[in-house]
Amino acid sequence: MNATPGLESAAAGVPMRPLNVLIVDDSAMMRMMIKRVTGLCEVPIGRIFEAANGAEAITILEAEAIDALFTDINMPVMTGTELLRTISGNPRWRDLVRVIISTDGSEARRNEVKDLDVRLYVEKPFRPEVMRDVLYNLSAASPDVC
Amino acid sequence: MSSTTCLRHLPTFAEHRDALRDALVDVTQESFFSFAEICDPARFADAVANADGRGRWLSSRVSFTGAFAGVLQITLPHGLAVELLAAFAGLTPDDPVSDAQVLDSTGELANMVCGRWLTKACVHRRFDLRQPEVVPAAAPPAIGAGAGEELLLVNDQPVAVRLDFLPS
Repeated sequence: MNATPGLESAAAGVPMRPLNVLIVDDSAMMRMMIKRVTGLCEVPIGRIFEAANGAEAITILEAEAIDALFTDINMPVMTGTELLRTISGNPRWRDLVRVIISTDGSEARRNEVKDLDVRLYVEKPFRPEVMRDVLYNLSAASPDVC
Repeated sequence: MSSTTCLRHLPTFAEHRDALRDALVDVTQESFFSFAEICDPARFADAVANADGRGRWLSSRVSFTGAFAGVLQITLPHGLAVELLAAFAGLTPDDPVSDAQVLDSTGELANMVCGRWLTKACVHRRFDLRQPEVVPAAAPPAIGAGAGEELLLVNDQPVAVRLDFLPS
C-alpha cells in the first residue's frame, strides 16, 4: 500500500471499516459528481446514500449507520444549516462527521455554522483532488473508521 | 472589493466585473473542466452564428438577496449545456442524457457562478440564493443589450452572462 496520509492507520494494522457516506444536495447532478469523485478516492467507501434536502437526510440518518455527512447549505424544504441544527446535540449522531460543500464560502455563513460541529467546509467549485483530501483527512482523524 | 462597496444599496456592474469574471473562469474550469475566455462582441457574434445546439438555447437565472439584491442570468447553447453536463458528471459518450439532467447541471452552473462571485466580492456579507430557474431561450442573447453583460466563450461556444442589481 502506498504511504498515503489517510491510509497510514490502516497500514499500521488498525481494523478497517468502509466509510458510509450521505450526500445531501438538491442538485442530482452535483450529488452524482460528488459520488463519482468519492468513488475515485483510495479511501475505502462502504455505501453512499443520497438526499435532496435536509428532511430527506434526517430520514436516512435515522435508518442507516452513516459515518460522514456531506451537505449543501442552500436547499429547499430544509436547508443544510437547519439539518445541522437538528442533529446537533443529539447523542445519536455524536460521532457523525459533518462536512459542508457549498457555493457560499462567506465568513458570515461560516460563522453561522461554526457551533454546529462542522469538521470541514468545502467551497464549490472544487477540484476532484479536494474531495480526495477531505476523505483522507476524515479517515486519518477517525482510525476506527478507515 | 471593499466592504463599503458591498454595503451600497445598488452597486454597479463595473464594480463587480472582475470578481464575476474570476468566478466564471473558476467554475467552468474547476467543475466543468472547460476553457473559458472573455471575448468581444464581434467574436461573440461569430460564435453565435456557429453555435452548437441547432438553434436551441437555455437560460439559467439565480436571484440573490442580502447586502444587495439582484439576478444573475447565464444564456448558452443547448449543445454546450449537454457538453458541460457530461464533463461535470463524468458521463461517457454512450451514457444517455435526459433533459432533466441538462437543466439540473445548467442551473448548478449559474448557482456556482453566483455563489462564487458573491463570496469573492463580499466575503464578509451574507447572501441568500434562490433555486436556479432554467428555461429554454427562444433566441440567442442580444449582443450588447446592456451594460450589465459579460460575453465569453466556453470551449469556443458563446455564453452571455447578465447581472442586474435590484433595489433591496
